[in-house]
Amino acid sequence: MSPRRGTRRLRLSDPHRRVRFGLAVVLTVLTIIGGRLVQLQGLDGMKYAAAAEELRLTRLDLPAARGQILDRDGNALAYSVEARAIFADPGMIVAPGRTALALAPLLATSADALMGELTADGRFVYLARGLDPAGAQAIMDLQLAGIGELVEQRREYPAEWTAAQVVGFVGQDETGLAGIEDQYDDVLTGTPGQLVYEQGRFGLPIPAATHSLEEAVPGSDVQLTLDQDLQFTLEQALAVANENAGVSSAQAVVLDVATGQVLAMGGSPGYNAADPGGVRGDQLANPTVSHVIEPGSVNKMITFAGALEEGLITPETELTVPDNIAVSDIVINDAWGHAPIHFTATGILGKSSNVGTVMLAQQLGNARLEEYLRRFGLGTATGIELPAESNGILLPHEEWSGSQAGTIPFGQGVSMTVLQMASMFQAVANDGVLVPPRIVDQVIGPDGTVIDQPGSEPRRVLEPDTSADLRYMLESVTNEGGTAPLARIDGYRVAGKTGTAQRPNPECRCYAGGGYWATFAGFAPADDPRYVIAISVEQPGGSGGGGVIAAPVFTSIMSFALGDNGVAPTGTPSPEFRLTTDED
Amino acid sequence: MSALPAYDRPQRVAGRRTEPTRVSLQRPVAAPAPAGRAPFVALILFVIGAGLIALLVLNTAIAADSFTERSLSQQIAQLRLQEQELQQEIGAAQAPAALARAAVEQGMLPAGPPGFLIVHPDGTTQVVGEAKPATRPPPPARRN
Repeated sequence: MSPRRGTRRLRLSDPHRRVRFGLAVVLTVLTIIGGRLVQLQGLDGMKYAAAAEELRLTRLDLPAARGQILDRDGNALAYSVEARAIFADPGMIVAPGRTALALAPLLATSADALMGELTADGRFVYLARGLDPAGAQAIMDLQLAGIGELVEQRREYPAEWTAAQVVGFVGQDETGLAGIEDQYDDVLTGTPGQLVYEQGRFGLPIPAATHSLEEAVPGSDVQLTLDQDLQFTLEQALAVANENAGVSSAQAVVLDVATGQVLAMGGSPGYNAADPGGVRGDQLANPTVSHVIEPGSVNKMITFAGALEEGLITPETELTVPDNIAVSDIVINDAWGHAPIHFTATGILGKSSNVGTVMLAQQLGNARLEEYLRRFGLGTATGIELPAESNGILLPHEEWSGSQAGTIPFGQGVSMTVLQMASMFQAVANDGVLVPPRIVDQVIGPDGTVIDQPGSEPRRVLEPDTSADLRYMLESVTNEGGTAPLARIDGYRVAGKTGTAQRPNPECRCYAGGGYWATFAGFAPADDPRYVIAISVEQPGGSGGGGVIAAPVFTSIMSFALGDNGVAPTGTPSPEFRLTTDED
Repeated sequence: MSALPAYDRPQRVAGRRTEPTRVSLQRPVAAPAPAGRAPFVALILFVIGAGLIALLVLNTAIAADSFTERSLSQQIAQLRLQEQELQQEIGAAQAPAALARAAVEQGMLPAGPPGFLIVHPDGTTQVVGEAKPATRPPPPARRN
């Protein structure tokens, strides 16, 4: 003991060593503290300061309003309003039963259904979405534990059914699911903003503290070429047609002749854009662009256009037409039995003789017929700004079967959308210049700037003389002896073409028992065309022809379009039409 | 300290003792000093006090403003929602289907074909088309 104590005392009592040792310890500690200080204040300083501020900062997401969809006159077809979502945090709810009973009347559901959601696993469940702010406030005023509200947007479709197939609809999260809402989703969607502020004890912003506001940028508005009133009239006329016995659906398209703009389009049955869940999923499409039909005799117009343009006929050319003709392995009949008639070309079209049309098509030849069909846009989507547009079906003529070569001239064995049908008549009405149909007029940015939309490139399909001849021949259809006297409108001259096409029976993949499509496409006034309308009425259980079923639909839509837009009758009388050279 | 010479201390003490005599000599010169310092101190105190009060008032005003701002922005939000509600009502009422329904309720009919009165540049007029009274039954309201 004593010697050891002696040594220790000896070493510690050495002042130089003690001072040096102490200095080393102090310097080491100081270095560590200094280093840590530099690390905290200098290197990581910003991070800690930011973390401290973060505790006081509140971030508030500012939802960006989705752009509106407007008709050509600026009426809103779709717009967004501020709404509230009510959510529950099941983990915070103390008395689920009482909470459910209190909420049920305000949310218009049963307490039992709410009970399931309030006692679910997890920390978040939506109880209701898209509520009016006042309704949500009434719920928040109850001050129920575990119930909260969120600000969100709700899409409104004030016109409900009107133009629903064009406008489409959005899902719960406001992404477009159909129609323009889908096609222009990027344009309509805005950029959300954010409000960041330092929050005091009672949730109030601390004055003069960090505060930054990033304004939400609303989405752009999309203005359509649709006319809301004409659209409504079109849908009413289709609904009336749909009440005919055996009719399952009806579609129509109205185009402006000079611009190719779609003024109205739709199909019946439609749906309510404000409640798209109310109908079957397959009814949510826009049938005028996504469903194809066989046009029937409406297609004869193209056969005649080709024959006129190639100089094979004039409107007065005479043909002796029997009531049947053998083509390949089939015999083609006229719709009515008759002894050979000395038709004029106008008469063949006006009376809609299949046999006469096939005789002309044989002169034209398959290759040239196909060329004209393609010139008028068949087999190719029009490129309209709508989703799910169909190309239609037109095989190259090398692949036509013998019977198809006989039937395509009068519109069987070829498929098109009702929009394509309207577009090909637009070319005839517009002196032979086809302007591909468009439905979006302009996009208006949130600051009011108009963003030009790439226009469609018009293309010449027929010479002006040819289209004038064709207009004359098409006018005979609605006149004495023609197939569509019902398409006449008091005071106006109307040109058009009827069609009655056999509809394939989906059960046997044959035509037997499939019913018919009644079609009509035409324009008015015939001598100064303003509007083109194409109609298709699908009748699985009926056999009405285009002149009986579709023509009246044309009349009611066209007379509204002319009257509502102040198109006066041209005042010129229709010319005399010589359909046959037979004396009878 | 211990290194200092011992005789130094008394001298210093003596020096302090002689101090009062020196002060008394300076008194006539320094006489206004206490009298001048008091207002100065008061001024400083006043400035500090006034500054503090001003700061307090300013702070209170800012806080009050932020309360006002909050209540006003709440009012704006309230009014915006009210505007939105009214817009919705207008939108629903001017939808074509609603207008058609309202027109039918008032016994109105869709118009028949209109007549047109065309005024030519030379002043002569011409009637085109024949206006007919509306007789058609109203189209059936859409079945929802």
